[in-house]
Amino acid sequence: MEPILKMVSISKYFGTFAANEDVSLEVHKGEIHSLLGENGAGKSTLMNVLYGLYKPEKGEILFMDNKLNLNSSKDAIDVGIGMIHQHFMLIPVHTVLENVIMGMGKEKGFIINQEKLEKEILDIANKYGMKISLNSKVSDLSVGEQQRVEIVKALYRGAKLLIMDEPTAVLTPQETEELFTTLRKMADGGMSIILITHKLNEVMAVCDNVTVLRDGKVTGRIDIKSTNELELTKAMIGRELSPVSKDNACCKGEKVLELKDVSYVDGGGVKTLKDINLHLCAGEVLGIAGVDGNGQKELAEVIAGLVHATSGKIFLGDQEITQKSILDIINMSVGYIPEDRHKRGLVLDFSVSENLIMKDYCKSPFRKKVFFDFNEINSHAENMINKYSIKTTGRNAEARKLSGGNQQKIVVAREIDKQPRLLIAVQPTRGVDIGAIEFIHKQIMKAKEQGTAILLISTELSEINSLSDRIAVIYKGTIVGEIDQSQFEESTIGLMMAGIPKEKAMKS
Amino acid sequence: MNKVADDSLDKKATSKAFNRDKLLSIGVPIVSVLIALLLGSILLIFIKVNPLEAYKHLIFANFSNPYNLAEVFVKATPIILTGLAFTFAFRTGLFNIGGEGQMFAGAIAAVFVGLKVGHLSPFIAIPLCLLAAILAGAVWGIIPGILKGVFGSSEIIVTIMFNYVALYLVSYVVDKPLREASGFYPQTDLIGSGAFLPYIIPKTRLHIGFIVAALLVFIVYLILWKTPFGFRLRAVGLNPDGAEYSGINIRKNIIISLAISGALAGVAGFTEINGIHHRLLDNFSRDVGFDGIAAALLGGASPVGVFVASLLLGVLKTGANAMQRGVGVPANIVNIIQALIIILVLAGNMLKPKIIVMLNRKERGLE
Repeated sequence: MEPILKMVSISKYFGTFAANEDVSLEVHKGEIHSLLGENGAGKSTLMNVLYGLYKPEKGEILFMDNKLNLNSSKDAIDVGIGMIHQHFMLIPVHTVLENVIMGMGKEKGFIINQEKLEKEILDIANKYGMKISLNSKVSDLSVGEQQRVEIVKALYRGAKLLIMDEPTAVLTPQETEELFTTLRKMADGGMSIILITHKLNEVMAVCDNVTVLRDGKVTGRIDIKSTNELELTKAMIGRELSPVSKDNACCKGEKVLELKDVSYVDGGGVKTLKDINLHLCAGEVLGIAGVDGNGQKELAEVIAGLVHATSGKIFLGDQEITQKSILDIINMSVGYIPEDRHKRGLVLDFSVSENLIMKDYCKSPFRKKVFFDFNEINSHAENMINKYSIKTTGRNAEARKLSGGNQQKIVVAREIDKQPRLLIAVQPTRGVDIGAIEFIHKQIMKAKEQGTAILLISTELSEINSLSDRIAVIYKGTIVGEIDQSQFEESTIGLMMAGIPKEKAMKS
Repeated sequence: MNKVADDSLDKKATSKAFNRDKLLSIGVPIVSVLIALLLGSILLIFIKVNPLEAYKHLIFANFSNPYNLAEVFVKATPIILTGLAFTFAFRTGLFNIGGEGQMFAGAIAAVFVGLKVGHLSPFIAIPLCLLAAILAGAVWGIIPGILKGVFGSSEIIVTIMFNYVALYLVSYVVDKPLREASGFYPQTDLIGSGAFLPYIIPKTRLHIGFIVAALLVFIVYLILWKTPFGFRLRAVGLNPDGAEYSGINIRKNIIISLAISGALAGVAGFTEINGIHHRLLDNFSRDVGFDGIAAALLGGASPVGVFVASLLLGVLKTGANAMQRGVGVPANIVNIIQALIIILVLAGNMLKPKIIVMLNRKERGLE
């Protein structure tokens, strides 16, 4: 069968830096094709070329047997290429209908023929089993629903090929499931879809074929049926991931953290934590599994002192820290990798070196009486950039300019390098690429070996399983149960994450 | 891919983007001033005045004799100080619109102290007046600070309202408690000559208050960018959530920031009283607080930028009088030009991202 899209030997240079070099891509009708690669591998550049945002220096694009000469995204839309960006391009205060027809000139003069348009749009949505409420305001919709609006918008513009840029990064597991069902239906109905991602399990779950990019070049063109995650990883990062080695034996140190009947009622009067009892020893990793939004964030913040427990007691060693300030707790050698690096972990407009001293700026050697000692600060920054291989144009670059993985490395470097007694790590690898995930996991394991007690809160079960010694499951603010890593069964944990008690979950 | 080559390329690209940023942040104010003068000239044509003639007076009269030249710095002095006040709060994420009121508070305190200790040696009288003005300005700033830090009320509204409280307080003070001995005008007696600020250049009004202002430009820069204290304040301004997570007390820093901001504006009251008027009178130095905000916007909220922008405003203010004498244009036309500059700078800053996108597109080979 003749492919619907053929990109032949595309090369795109920025200066002399080759973002894409001799990249070819073929997508067939009715196929979900994955474009796999790490951040910076050239996926986005290639797709921007296809969507008319960049002009390639070399190569040509054939779409439905026509040679394309794209000058803007409008040209791409006109021939039937739709793109759904990671950050949605919707106007929140407008209704779904208005967003879908926006800019298409469907209104006659000032009048919009509401009924006719509604019918047209609903026909498209129903064809692929998407529920959509045309008269709701976009700002009232959940993220998953907004994404549906984007898909309908692209289809309504006559897209025959849909590019989706990391569509699952913002979705809950359930929404992801739903999205994949929709995509499958669309593919079966003759649509072609390009899925940009760096998550292997998604590729395996939903795609037909995959093109792997690394450093701007194609490193693999693989049929999903004949491959496995290991092979894909190899193509993606150019080597095999070395599994994180772990020694469960060293977890019997002194007790570092203890929570006794800790409850927390938030500002809205909701009891987000209910009678939590946990303990954690030096050199031990306790994983907290659970679906996002079940009290994980509050649990971390209660321990770190960002909010104070409404009742119950928290001990660090033999000292009570329940009502202590954030600064006191930091000074008691507690590291904290927060869930949201943009909101909490970094000051994005500060430089890399400033961010690296966010918690020590007031202490020696960085301070000389009232002034900073910039020699110390700079050498500290250089040191950390090398030690944690933070990729940046220099220590004075704003943190905002770094990629997600490298931003996270700044946070990890700052929190781990001091060898804290206790490390609270919340979603330490959310939204970073595989290479950085591997690196961050190794750093956490290294801290464990040096005797740090680690509370790992994550929604990624694979992460919990590979790092933890013990696993506790949180559901609606209570700890459903605790199991040893040796007893790890994904099905058991999954049931516990839905609130089913341990005994029952283990039996079924 | 060669890693070294890759890195150096990255660096090259960044330094290019960086220069472009810098160029734009200097270019926008300059272009704004030029366009504002152009628009002003249309206005002048309407009232049948040759714009070139008028602008000749507006700009070159300042350099015609030492007195006029010194006057530029005299006019700029309080604007530098209120501009620094706005900048300081702005860098910590706060809008202090109360520079005017804080200056009045400082002036009242400076006059009060000046009347009491003015007969003493200048080495005692002047520092005491300065200290009083700093304290009074700080008090006028810390009250909105506490209201913001503790109760979360908007510092913008409170500082604006405090302007009026201070303004009418001045009216009251010169009307009743400190009215001059003769009781003729609503103004205070002259402060003792020991509290007069010495002149830098003889036969001009340029006093050492200008040096104080210039020193404070440097000090504010040092505080904000070279000390842990300023680091804390800027962190709160740029990302309060991140600052809180790092153990910084946000409320405390908001209060401190507004107190210092108020103190800086208070110093403007000191330089105006002890350097120029030597007494408190109703409606003295009106709008200097707001000119400071203009200078801060024009100067990109950086201390050095404020300094340069204040001198520019000084040129316009001094030149306005010369223009009025020379071609009979009302001096107020300068206020219109000043307002146009502000609008254009704000518009330019809004457009800056678009200009950068446009340049980037060009680089990518489109269009």
